[in-house]
Amino acid sequence: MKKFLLIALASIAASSCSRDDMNDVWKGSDSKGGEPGEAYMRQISEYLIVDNLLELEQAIYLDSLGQASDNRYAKTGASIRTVGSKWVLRNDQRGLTGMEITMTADSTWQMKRNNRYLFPDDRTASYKTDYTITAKQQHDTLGRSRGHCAWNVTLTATRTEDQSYKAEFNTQPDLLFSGGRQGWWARCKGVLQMDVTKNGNYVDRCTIEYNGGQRDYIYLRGL
Amino acid sequence: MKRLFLLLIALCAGLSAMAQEQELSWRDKIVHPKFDVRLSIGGPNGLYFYPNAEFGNSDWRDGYWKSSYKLADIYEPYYKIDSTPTFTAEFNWHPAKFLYVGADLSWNRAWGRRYDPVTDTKIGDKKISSAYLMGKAAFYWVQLPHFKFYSSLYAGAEIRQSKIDDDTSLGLKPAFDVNMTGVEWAGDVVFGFAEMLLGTRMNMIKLGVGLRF
Repeated sequence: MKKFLLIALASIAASSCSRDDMNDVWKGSDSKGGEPGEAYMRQISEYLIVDNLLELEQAIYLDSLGQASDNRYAKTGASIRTVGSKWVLRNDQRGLTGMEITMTADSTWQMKRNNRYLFPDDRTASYKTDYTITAKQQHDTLGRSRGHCAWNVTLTATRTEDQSYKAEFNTQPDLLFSGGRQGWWARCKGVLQMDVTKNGNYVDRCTIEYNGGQRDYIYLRGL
Repeated sequence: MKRLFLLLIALCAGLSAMAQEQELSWRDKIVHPKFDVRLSIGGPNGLYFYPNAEFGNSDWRDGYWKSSYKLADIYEPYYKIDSTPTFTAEFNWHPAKFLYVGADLSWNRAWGRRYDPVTDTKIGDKKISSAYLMGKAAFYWVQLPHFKFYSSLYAGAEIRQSKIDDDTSLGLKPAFDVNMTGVEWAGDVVFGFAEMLLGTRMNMIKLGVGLRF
């Protein structure tokens, strides 16, 4: 009976730990929202960037299997693993329809989109977001295991909102996503910066510095 | 048999007469005044404030504002609001047992301290004082000796003085209130009353005392 109780307690402890681990990973728009002020920036780092990376990996993976259909992608170039090829996402459940994926150099892809982007945590926050993400593959783990590639990510983005507000984003230094398993990354390191203007005048500068887990960050505003 | 039949008729007639007597007696206890005057306090300013027409980002929606995903919500100045209740004096005339009409005069005030959300410092003030002159009609739908239930409709005008920092302006606006359920209770002369209001002048409950004559 004692053994049984010990096993049961150990199982509960183990499951709660693994649940906590799963809450602190990078898994795109399946994640939860953030705290006041920070929450806005986290829509970019946790959703926009991660969802684009997931789309990129999916395109590469489907291409490697020969299953990237013309219904899903408008293709210029037969393979997305050929430098110069450009694929445009035709239909996407993550709200990235129209996103262009271009292979710009060896192990490097660029994702561009200039259209309305809906923040997943607020179904009314849909504004024009013009972004370019450059992702450089660090380790080619795709196809070999169920893990993700590690990606070095550079972002430049401009989001234009009501009352002449504009947010400009960039990464300084680049964000490095690594580790994890299918559907999520385990770590992110780097800094995302946001400059907010109204009618072209400075309003705020914020940074969010990631040190690994999704909640392991330092957020600063009024810089 | 005939006797029994006559006895039953007599009994019925007697009971019926008693019932009518009783009915008349409780109906007689209902007071139908010619006039009344009332003093009351009610909820703060009404609908004009709720769509943020006056105070934009306001602390009443703190939870929403802080977790907003829109730059205007995050960075536009916001107000911390306070207000007085609405004070009202009323005069009513009862032309029929089930109806009264009247006029009332109200006053209330709201003020907001404007904050810069980036520095979280106070950057200004806005004060609004309103006086309302309204006519009304009310309809009693249940009347008991010590309780009366009624609904009423108010319509009139609001004179509003707005003071934003050092700038003062006056404005005239239409005003209305709807009272779906009002109740009067207690005495023949002095009575209490409560109304549930929705409108531009008041929201929530209005409580007061009145004098019938």
